Amino acid sequence: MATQKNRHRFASKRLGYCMLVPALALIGLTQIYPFLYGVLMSVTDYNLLRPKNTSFIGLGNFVELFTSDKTFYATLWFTFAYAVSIVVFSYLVGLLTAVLLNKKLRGRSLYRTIILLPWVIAPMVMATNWLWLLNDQFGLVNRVLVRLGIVQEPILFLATKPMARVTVILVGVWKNIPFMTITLLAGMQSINADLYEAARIDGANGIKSFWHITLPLIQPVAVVSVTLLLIWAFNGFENVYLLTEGGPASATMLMSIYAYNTAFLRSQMGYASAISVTMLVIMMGLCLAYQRVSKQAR
Amino acid sequence: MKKLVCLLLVCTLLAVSAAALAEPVKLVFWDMIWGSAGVYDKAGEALVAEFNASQDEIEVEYQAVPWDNYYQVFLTAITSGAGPDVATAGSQTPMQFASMGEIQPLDALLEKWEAENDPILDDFLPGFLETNLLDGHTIALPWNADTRVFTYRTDLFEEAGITELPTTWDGLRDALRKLKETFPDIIPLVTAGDSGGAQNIMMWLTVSNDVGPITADYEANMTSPQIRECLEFVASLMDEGLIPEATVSYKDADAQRLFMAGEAAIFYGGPVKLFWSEESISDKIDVMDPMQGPSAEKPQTVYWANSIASYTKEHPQEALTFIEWWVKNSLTLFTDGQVGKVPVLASQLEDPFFKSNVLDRALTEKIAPTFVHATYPVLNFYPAFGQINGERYLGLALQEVLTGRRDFDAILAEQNENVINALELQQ
Repeated sequence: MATQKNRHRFASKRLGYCMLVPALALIGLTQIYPFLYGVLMSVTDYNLLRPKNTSFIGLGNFVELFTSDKTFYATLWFTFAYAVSIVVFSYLVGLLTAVLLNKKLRGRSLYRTIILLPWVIAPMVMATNWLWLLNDQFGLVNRVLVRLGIVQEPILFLATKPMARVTVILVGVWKNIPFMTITLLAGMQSINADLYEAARIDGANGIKSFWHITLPLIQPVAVVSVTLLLIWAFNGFENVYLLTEGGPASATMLMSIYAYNTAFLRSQMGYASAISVTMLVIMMGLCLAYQRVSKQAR
Repeated sequence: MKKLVCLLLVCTLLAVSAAALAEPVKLVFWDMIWGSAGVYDKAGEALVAEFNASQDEIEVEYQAVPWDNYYQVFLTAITSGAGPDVATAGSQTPMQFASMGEIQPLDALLEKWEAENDPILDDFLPGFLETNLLDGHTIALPWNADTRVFTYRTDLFEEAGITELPTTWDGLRDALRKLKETFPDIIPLVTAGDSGGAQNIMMWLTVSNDVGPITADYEANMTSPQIRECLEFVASLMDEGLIPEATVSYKDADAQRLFMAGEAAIFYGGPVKLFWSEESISDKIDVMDPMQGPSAEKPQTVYWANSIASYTKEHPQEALTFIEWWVKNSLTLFTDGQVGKVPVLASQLEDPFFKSNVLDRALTEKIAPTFVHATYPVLNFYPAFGQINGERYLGLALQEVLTGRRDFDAILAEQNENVINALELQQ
């Protein structure tokens, strides 16, 4: 009897494993294979123009990247600044918007829909619109600022290096606020209303309730959303590429754009893979550090 | 009975084989959209249909390819074995794929033309056939030339008292000063200064100043005094307010928009057919004359030779047949397809179409005779050109100037290093 049961259990497990095979094969083909192939390429001098002359060079690409590539450090610095700024400002604004949307307001559903718009607009449309809005000659933003007398001359949003950096970060923040708002709002709505009621009876005001109830209880959601946004921003490509292509004069060059240019303009696939692997390692380190700090804070 | 069955079988086999033999060879042809989508691709498709109707041996399947990320599309398709048999593509593309061993040289076609004394060999404009030579092999055949021109407002020039078109940089600067003085609210010169735009400006400037990013001996040449003159010239335009302060952030569409809205007197960029269909300006615009820099002896205008190439290993002979036909019959792509570029065959330039409108007349009569290839002073596309042009080292130098830097020697030294690296890496 027991043997029959075991057989049945084994058969049903086998069926389960069999059913997993297509999904695992798909993941293997689309994610694991390209990842391993990328790592493998990073230790070769694979050049698209001379694919037959590819040879294993060990850590040569990484040594060059860290010791003699001047573009790399400037790019790495801006990528950090870009990713961290986007996470910090998106979190702060997203938190504020989530708090407002968590209140019983008239037309709350409409506001929630509107706040999602930047998230759902296609990057190409987004970039084109921002470029037109920020143009110094016909851009709406400059026209309004000049007419209101806030500035005397149009602001050159994308024409000086510092302003171009600030502008791509601001557009990145604008794009990511909806994600932060929605995830933090979901976290806030899962908090039991009785806790606020009890705090109010104990004499806590709104700020104290927010500080001692809301913030600690949305932390698990915040950790996930901050980690995800950090990964997305660090690996970000299309927003900056469509706005500036990494310019002017490489001022807004991100690691992802640098890897892309190295692969497709220089044809240096091996070196581009080394840049990508470096990005992966840095990203993993950042995420692990952030999660450890959050765990300790809890 | 058995004999009858055998006979029937043999007959069937013969019939099937004959049918198989008569089946035309299929070629997949990728054609970049060289004009407006919906106009050019229709002309391209019609031309291919005409080729298919003209014979029974080859059937070409036409596929229009948009320009967005086209190199990546080609690269991915060709390296994965799903590429085209024949394709037209951006100037340096055939050279890049030839370096990878993915292009079938067209030497046999040229040998055939030589053997047959084909008049087409003398019909190519001077220098065009040489643009696609790599290690002594012809890797592609040019069929159109891309260039950049200055389109200007004739009415504003007249009002500003500019009676003669400038033919030198100094003359251009004087004209811009007059325009600024007469029309303080109008931008004297508008152009794209983003990475692609800045690269195009610098290629025009360097060629018209008789210099290139490398020498004819393949040595980096970015620190040349002639290239410094290019940067100094643009810096002077910027410092005098003759080009907008935000030029570096303009894409081509921004510059076109300003010109079409009447907010700029001169537009520098590709020949834009749309300007001539915009009612408010169409009858008061023209193309400026070719110009020369302080170090050049004559006016020179940069051009990029755009070509057709064979990528097939299975049907090289059929690809040659189609390529020959395409190059010889491409006139309708200009007349019906509104390519907005210059044909490379002298006989095509004689077509009345090119005399019938201001833009094409200017391109063929004024600009084309001063053509100098984008790879100047090297005559042909060379492997490092893909990186030097693709990473826009000339444009990066100019962008530094457009963002306010004036230490020209340091800027050029930085980019010279990039050019040296590119030459080492790709040669």
